[in-house]
Amino acid sequence: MTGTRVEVRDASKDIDGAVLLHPTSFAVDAGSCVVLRGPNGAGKTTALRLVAGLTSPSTGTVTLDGEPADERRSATREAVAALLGTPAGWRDLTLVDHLTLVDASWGRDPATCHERVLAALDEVGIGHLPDRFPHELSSGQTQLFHLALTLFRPARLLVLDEPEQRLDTERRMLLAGLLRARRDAGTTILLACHDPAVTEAVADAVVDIDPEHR
Amino acid sequence: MTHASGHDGPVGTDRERLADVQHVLHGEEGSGSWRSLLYTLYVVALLSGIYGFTVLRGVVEVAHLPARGVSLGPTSGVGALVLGGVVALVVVLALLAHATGRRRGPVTPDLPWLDHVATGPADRRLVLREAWRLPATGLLVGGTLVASVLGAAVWGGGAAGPAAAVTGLAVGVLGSTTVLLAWLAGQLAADDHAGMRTGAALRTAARPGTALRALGLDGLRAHSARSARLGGGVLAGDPRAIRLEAASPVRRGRTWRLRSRGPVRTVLARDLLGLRRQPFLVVGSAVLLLAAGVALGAVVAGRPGNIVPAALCALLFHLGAGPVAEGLRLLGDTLGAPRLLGGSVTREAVAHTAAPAALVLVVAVPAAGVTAGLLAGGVAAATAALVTASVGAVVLGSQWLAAFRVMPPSFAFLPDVGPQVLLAWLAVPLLVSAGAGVVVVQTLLAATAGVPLAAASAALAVVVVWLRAHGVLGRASSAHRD
Repeated sequence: MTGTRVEVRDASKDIDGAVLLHPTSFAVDAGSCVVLRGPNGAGKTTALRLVAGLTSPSTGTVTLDGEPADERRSATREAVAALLGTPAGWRDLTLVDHLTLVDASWGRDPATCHERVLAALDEVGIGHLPDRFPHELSSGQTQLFHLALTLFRPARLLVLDEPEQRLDTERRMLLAGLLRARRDAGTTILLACHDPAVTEAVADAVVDIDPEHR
Repeated sequence: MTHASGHDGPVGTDRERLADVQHVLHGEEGSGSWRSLLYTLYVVALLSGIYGFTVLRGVVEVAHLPARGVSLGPTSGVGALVLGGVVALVVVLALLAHATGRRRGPVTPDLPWLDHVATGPADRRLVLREAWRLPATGLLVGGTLVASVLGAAVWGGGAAGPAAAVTGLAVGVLGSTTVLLAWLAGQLAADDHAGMRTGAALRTAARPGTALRALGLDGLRAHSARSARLGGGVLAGDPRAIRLEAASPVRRGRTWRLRSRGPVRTVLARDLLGLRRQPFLVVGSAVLLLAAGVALGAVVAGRPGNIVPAALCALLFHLGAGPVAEGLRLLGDTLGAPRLLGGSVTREAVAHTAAPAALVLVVAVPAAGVTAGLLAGGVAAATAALVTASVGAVVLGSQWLAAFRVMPPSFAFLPDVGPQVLLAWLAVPLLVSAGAGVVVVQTLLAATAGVPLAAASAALAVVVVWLRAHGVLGRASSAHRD
């Protein structure tokens, strides 16, 4: 699958006078991985939400393959898998049920669904917990489950907000390996990350988001 | 160890020290909790006495029971049946109270009180006494008032002698005590520290002092925090927060697996699996929809002169379709988060509507048809089935309104009119069901009587509700954007 090219040009965001992101520009080439860095409050999450099309920029533009990023457009929804906060979940489904539902909704082959689902859980290291309900997971396992959900759906662009949070060192390196594999397969990746080791392992480029406008 | 003050331990009795703490926290005035409770009970007593008694007595008088030779006195046959029904109601309420107590028990002191006072050496019975006595007093007095007014209205309306009033008082005292102790037993049974099974919890709850000493800090914190979040959800007009806090975590049927059956059928299978894991939702829905169907059948057969019976049927219908519409509510919960599922939100919402629609068709429509058929023949049966299916369509649209609403209007948070606005906003789906349901029932009944365009009016009511529902879904899908 070909990755999506992301272009952010002088994009800013303010709500009722509160500036969440000063004008910012960067680009992510198709099939590459860019890491956003910056102190808390710099606007990294806001920049990711703009790229995922979850909100509109107050000024400037955010485009995916030349088209505006807007999750109300089916092209954006089809292209972008995002982990921004807690993803959608169903309190009455187990982990394996969640992935089955995601798999089916994208029209994949029902005959091989179960194998894909188990492999996806295994990939992030929670393959031994298929029949747990989400509320029965530890915080680290919950993060791994959220990653599994996000990585499982088809996407040409992955947008991840601090995917390393709550993970131990071993799991962080596992995450870095997964992201490298997705990038090598052609998926574009944009993530905010505070972990230097993960950044070093996955980033083709690093963009520093400055909390002060210069 | 010697304290800096020179004392070897706490000064004074537990009661004195707790009184000191109360003084430090609230000053000479005290916390005001008792004043608020007593004022609330005063208002309830006033309204029950003036309006409750008058209205209920009027209802009893209008029913002309004595003229029909029916007495509701506790020694008569009908009276005994009614009393049996009341006892059954108390048992159901006690079971519900026990289930509620497992999530939110009666003993929920403020969190700071728990963290800074309950952790001290004072007797836990004393520490928790006020937090227990407040809800206990409210429930006992409130329950007794309601039952007494009911009994007095039956007496005042001439359907029974003064024994009905005495019976009402007795049922009120005993019933509310039973419900109260079941509520406390629920909290005890859910408390890891108390570690009691239901039977032991019930026995312990009968001795509240012992029960309070048995409650552990972890459980108390959980219940108090949940209580605070529930209160926050109510004040913020956030039905989702209320629902998630009130609902027990699902643990049943973890090995029953969802199978992939294509994009739409898997969503439907998801809902069915979720309902298998929470069967009480199906049972609750089925019972209420059965009652709504029977009532609608009776309305169609009887063709009453006013709209009140039809409105009550539509309300019951709405309440019945609600529990089984869990899939719609869960979809509403996920709106705003980045999409995980392929396909459109509308397609998903339609798929989630299938489960409640199926229960309406399987339970309510046949119940209405059979009831009307038995009461008024074949034509009435067909009419009742059509009316019920149409009211069902309205009610399902209202379930969308309930599942996909976003935020209450900003003036719902104003101090003076806020609570009323908030209640009205929460009641909108219910009111739409009742209003449009009445239109559908009345116009379809008129259509069978040959009134031109009546059927078109019924269809228009259904279409308007669904257009509104679709609009609400669209707004909910994009409401998170800024």
